Amino acid sequence: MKMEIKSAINNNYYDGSDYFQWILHEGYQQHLLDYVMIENIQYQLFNLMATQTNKFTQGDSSSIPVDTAQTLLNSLCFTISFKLNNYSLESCCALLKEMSLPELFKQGQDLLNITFEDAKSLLFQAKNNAISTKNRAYNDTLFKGIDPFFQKYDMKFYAQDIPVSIDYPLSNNNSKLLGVEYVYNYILSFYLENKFCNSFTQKSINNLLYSYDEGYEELLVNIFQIVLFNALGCILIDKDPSKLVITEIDLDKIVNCKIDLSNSMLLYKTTQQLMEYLNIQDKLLRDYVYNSINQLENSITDALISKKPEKIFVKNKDKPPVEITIYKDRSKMPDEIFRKVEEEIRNCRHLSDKLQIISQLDSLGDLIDVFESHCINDNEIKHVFKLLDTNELSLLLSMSCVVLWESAYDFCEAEKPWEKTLLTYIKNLPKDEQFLIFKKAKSAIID
Amino acid sequence: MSIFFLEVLTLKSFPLIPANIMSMTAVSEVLKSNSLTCKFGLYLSKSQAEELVTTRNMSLENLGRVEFGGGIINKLIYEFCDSPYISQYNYTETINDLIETFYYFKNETLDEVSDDDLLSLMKEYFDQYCNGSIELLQGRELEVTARNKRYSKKNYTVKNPKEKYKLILEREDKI
Repeated sequence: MKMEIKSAINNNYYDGSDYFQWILHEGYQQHLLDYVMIENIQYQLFNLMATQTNKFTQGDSSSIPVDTAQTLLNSLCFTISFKLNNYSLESCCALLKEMSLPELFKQGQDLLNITFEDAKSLLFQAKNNAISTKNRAYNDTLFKGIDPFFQKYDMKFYAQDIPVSIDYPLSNNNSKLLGVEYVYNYILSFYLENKFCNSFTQKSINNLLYSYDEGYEELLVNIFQIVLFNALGCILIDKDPSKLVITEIDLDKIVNCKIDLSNSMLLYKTTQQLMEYLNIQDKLLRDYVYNSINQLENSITDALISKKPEKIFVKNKDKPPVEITIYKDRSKMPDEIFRKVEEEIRNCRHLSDKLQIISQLDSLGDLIDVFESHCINDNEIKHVFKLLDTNELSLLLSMSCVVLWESAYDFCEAEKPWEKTLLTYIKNLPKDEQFLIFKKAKSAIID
Repeated sequence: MSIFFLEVLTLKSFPLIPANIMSMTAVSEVLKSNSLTCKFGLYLSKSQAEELVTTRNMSLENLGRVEFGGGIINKLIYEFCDSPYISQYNYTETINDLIETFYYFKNETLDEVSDDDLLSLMKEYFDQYCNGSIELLQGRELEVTARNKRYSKKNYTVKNPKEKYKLILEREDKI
């Protein structure tokens, strides 16, 4: 089912839960709401708060701490604001006259629910169109960081909260938004940025990020911006943007070319050219890219005026980056069968019998489960490692929680006992074999 | 009327829930209790009802709590109206003290005891163990109850309090 993606860009005045208060204040100032109406709304709000408080305490308590009351009131106002969000001041005042506050509140909750479901579907799409990168912040946020929001979000009493920690920085992030609206907007931006980056090959992006910084995997950087800038730079000097490569010579060209920097439409036209080249038709994506350029226009122009284009365009590094290998593990066996296998291994008297059973396992996931089920001890695990070749050891290392440092693989961190045993085993191998295993582990992505 | 509500329940400068609306509702609710309490010879005048509402508001303000509607005053009156230690002579004064006590111990028990349970405990202690003394109720039975609740003891209520209090004193002497 194709989901219609709504634009979250809102041109109305909006600042979280204060929109409702702003409407009352402005409506009264501009005589759209009279004093009797305001008093009526206040009385309805009072009753609504009493109902919410009763629901919150499940009827057990008639009084609540001030902080809790303030939170409930903020949530209530946020929900009503969410309903009124897309209407002008005059329309909002008309709505407030026609409908009761409980009705508006109910409609606000329904809208929140719809946005919540939409955000879930959108996250699924964003994961599907993700770019293949080893940037930790990108992967952790998209594949692990946002999911908990859908379990923890409480629409009834904490609608304005954002119970999730999001690390990856986006190009356009409206930090004034709250609650599910913020998360929806965030996921939408993520999705659009992915869509833009998918216009380029994984190899080009990989090369570009490596050129940006060899340790880009651990950096908190926005990949879309880096890609967009280099693509624009290529367009400026009439170069093919698909490779995203800007050399030293290209930087000199950018400095020396006669760009009319007083032309405020310059960046807009360059962006337009880029979109035509990439054949980007999606209006939401086009608007997103233009908004990004608008926000960064000053820094781009300053870099060009001061003849320091290397501030925003990434110069290609000669050394090619490591190729990424994507490994798809086989399906793990069902739990009941695994339990039987585990029991069998545990009951074996001889190591050779255990090794024979383990050598028949089909997936690395099952192998890791055997290690973590403690049916074999650390000594026996070493013998299992002897059965694996360099590729398998590197994949095992990649699948573990071992933190691999970029240039000093001597200083890796492991959490689980079998991971520590694995590290010890690898470090006792010949140096060149160690280097190969760590190199392959760093370039592997497990699907 | 307390300005406290205005300060709390506003967003920035605009009062969303004005204090006078809450106050008017509460006094009329309290006066309704007379229909039951008159059978026990207890009656509140309008000024006395306003005094109770003021006490409630001051207690809520001092203890950092908010309440909507008449709420607890009526429940408290209905719970205590048949107490042998309350007469028309000390009716208002005792209910005032009980209101303050109630909200204080709502905080002290971390909101983990429901209104009904707390009122029921207060009544039991007041009548059976404290002989109508508010000081004993606050300083002895309810203190122990609140401490037990904070330390997550399953049986946090006080049974046979005089014996228990004696044991606490003996233990403290030994220390």
